[in-house]
Amino acid sequence: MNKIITLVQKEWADVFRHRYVLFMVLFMPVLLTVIPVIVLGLGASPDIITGMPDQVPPAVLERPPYNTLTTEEAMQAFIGQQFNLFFLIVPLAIPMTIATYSIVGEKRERSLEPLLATPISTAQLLAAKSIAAAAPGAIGVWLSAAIYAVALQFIVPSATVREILLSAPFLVSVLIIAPLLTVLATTVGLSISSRVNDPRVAEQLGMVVIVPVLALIFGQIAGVVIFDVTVSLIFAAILAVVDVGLLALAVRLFSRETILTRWK
Amino acid sequence: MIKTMNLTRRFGPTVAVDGLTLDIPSGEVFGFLGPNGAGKTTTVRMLSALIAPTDGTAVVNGHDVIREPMAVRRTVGVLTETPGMYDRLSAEYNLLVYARLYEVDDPARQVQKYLSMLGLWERRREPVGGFSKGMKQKLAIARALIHEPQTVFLDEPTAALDPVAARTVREFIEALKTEGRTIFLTTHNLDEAERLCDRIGLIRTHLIALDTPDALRRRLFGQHVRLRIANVSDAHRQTAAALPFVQGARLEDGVLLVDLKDPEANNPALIAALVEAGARIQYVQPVEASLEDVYMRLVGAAGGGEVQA
Ligand SMILES: Nc1ncnc2c1ncn2[C@@H]1O[C@H](COP(=O)(O)OP(=O)(O)O)[C@@H](O)[C@H]1O
Ligand SMILES: [Mg+2]
Repeated sequence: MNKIITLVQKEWADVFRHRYVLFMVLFMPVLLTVIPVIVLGLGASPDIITGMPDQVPPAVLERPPYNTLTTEEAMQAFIGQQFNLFFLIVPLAIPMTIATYSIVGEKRERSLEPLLATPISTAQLLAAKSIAAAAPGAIGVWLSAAIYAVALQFIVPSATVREILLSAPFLVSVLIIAPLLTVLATTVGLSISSRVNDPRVAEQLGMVVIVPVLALIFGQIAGVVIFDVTVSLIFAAILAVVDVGLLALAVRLFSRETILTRWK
Repeated sequence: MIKTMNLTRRFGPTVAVDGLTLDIPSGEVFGFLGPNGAGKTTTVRMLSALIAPTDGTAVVNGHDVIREPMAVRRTVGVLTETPGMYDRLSAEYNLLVYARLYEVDDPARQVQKYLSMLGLWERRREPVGGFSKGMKQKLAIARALIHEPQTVFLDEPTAALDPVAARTVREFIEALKTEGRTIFLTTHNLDEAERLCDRIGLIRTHLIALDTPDALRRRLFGQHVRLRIANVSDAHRQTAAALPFVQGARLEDGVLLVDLKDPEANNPALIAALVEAGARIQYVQPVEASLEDVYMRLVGAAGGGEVQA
């Protein structure tokens, strides 16, 4: 355990010296907190809302509790629900950036071989790399979500709308889906960067993991999917299965032999 | 202590190391000499339990590399072919990470010991990226020693360095010899092998020769004999060449050079035959082969190819 802590500290000390990584890790959560708060805050003023009430799909407006809301409230709730999903970009982007820079960095500096010569198990190495990448993603999304939840108390006048926005699906996405996404992004990031030698390229390739989240967001905007408790739990369950598969792959990829003889 | 038994490693169809059997006692400085692609790095990786042999095994410091890889890693230090320091991190932090991973009792003290030894204590907070190649290499050796391992593997410690840096690294290694560790040093530099090592193994996939630098040289030492003959003529050359144990004879600057299988056994008969032919022999000298000759001959005989000295 001490060795994992040592390695995680080393990872952070090293990877955050890249300005780009530091920027991503700080910028992403801030951006994805500030934008919803500003938009919802502005949206609370009727002038803005009246310009675009017909953007809420009619199918959504018919459903409870939307059918009890005023047009302005419905709009705020609808926009807010999209932002709720945008938070899920944080646990994807941060771990992806850290994981790719960390692995590609080790490959470039050829520092993996001396590291593997120490009495650490490859499981410890994998755990350290994963924690170093995933934890900032989880912390980032939790901080953002907490600030967002507090801000909503001030910028959303309707208790019903606040309830819609901070209900079970939001909690599931922040507390269950977000951590699962960090694992997804980390394992994909580690795996891709074992094969690619440019961190930017690895990162861009890795960002395909954002597709399921974007699908959810656009599905919901189009009114095709509603991110309710059932959908959120199904999404979480699928993610969990995918994560287990990817972890198994990462474990295979993280054997001494493979790292030393196949990673190029 | 290193003992290898038929140690073999294949990569698909390529045989990198074939049937290596070695016995290196504790405290020996062993030179593993061979051209590029000879299997030196592969051997070091197997002996430091980084990759597994495909056949045979090895025991390092009493631990089997296949069955007890963790125990092996705990008791060996490895300087890999490239130093692999974290360039953005400080010298101190680089060593500290390793001291902790090796679970040394007092990481800070160990780190200080080696940084002081290298004269880097004042610069400990600087990122390693700014150090010279030689400094980085010494730092990497210090990293390999941070847990005071019984056995140290140094894979081509001076190959990537300019002559001056190479010398400071070599001096550092010489200082380590006095500490009684087993040192396994791979190199394709003959001079280095001869200067630093108690024994040398020549490898080119197979182990070609294994002996002390002196004995290796002696293998060819005297295989040429140089005879200074006052009244030298081609008749003397023909007389020598006609003897059954003579492999070749030529005249060079009025000196007769004779190739012999076994000079100590053959010289009396050679001299007798020449005297009989009327030669007035003034001197008989063995021609000492340099280690480089030995190397070229042994490695060349094992299949040509690139050789760097
Ligand atoms: N990971 C690998 N995959 C395939 N072949 C390898 C690998 N590592 C080494 N080899 C081959 O094994 C042989 C020995 O290589 P190496 O041990 O690196 O030699 P040296 O260190 O003496 O230069 C070479 O032919 C090399 O191409
Ligand atoms: Mg090599």
